[in-house]
Amino acid sequence: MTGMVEAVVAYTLLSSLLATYVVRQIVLLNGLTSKLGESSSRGPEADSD
Amino acid sequence: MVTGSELGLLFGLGVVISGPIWGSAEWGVPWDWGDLRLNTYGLLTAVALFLVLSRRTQPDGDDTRDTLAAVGLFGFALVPITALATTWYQNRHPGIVLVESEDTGLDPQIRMVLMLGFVSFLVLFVGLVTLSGTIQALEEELEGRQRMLDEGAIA
Repeated sequence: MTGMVEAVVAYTLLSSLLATYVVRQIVLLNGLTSKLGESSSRGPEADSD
Repeated sequence: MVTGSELGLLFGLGVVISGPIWGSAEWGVPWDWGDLRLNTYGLLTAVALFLVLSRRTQPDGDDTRDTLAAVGLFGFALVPITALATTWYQNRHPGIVLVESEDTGLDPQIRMVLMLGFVSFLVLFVGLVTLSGTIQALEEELEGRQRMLDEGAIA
């Protein structure tokens, strides 16, 4: 059982680090996709103005 | 460069955070300043951190790009040094154990676990590179559209 606590702490920290990065990237991707969607839908209006 | 430095920082932090916890349990010291691999890897992660932070805080221009490219090249040179560090100088870290010889070699079960871990992390890495590439392509497209709108407004 030597090092069991350390292993759990290390894997918890690693999982949190990876999960934080992946969630951040997905949120960023979502935001960019919706911004591009908005920009595409505004395009024709801007042209007609 | 953005993808490389971000993922370098992510995986580097993973090692720099979990390594001392493991080292503390196994070696009795979290960080050995006399171990070449530890220090070059720590420096490599610091280079990745510098690149990520600089890219976000400094204005984009030729001077910034030149400076970051030079620092990036320094980081690139650190990679083979880190890889060969245990061959040149063994202190805490063991030498290469994967290659079978009289002094090295791995138990087949441990080798299987290692390979499984390697393949898993490779799949994760490829997925993250793809995700980061997609985000950058979208950012560039958005910037391009913004530029067109600005030019249209000026004209």
